[in-house]
Amino acid sequence: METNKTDSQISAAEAAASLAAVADSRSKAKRADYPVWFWLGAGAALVTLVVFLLVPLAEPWPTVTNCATIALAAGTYFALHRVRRMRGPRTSATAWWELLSLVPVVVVMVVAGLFHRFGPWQNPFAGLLTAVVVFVVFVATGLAISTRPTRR
Amino acid sequence: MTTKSEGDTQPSHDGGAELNTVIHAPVRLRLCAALQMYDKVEFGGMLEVLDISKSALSKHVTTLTAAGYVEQRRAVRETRQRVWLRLTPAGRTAYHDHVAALRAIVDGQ
Repeated sequence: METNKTDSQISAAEAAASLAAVADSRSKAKRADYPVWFWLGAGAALVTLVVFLLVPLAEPWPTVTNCATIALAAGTYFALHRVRRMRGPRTSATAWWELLSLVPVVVVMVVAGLFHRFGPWQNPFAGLLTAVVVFVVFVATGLAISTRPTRR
Repeated sequence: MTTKSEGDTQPSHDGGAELNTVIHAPVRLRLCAALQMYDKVEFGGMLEVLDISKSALSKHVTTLTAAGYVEQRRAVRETRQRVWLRLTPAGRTAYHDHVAALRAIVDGQ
């Protein structure tokens, strides 16, 4: 079997640039076609989750927020995968990408949770403030790292 | 059936790594890289990924279709006709071979 050797018609630098373009295109394909409403809907689901976790509520409100979280999350994700113009993921790239956008949110929630549990932070407004921060962080993160076409 | 343009799809073969001159064009390479990740991608979705004009994308899709690497299917969804692009098995093989050739060139540096 012949060993591979540098093709005289293309330099190693050109080959490296082509591979970089491949990686860039794959990255953009993972992050493309996430409409603004997806981030708002998923962000709303996170808000209700944070409220359920951190805001002291009397029944039936914990149940209501729990159901709202599930409904918003499921509805948003099902709607997204119905309208998204990429079908049949052949790789797990889309799932990884969607989870990655949650990293800043997880950080915020862990910090808020620690303050709530170990600090003198029993004010219910603190939980609501955390919910607002989580919403803003999640939506901003998602919109910032989504692929946005510049050409119209 | 699609026909391949003479000279366009002949791999650059210098006794070493084989490059596909059809796929090697920058936009077509990026197009194949994006298509390879999914079963199919809508034309409009590909515009968002590649960030080029409709006419430019259409031209490159036509070239890949003529080489037998991409197939286009029209489908009506929500009263609008949409064009879906898909890499053919030959296209996937050609793309993988081309990327392998690029890596071989870089590794052989």
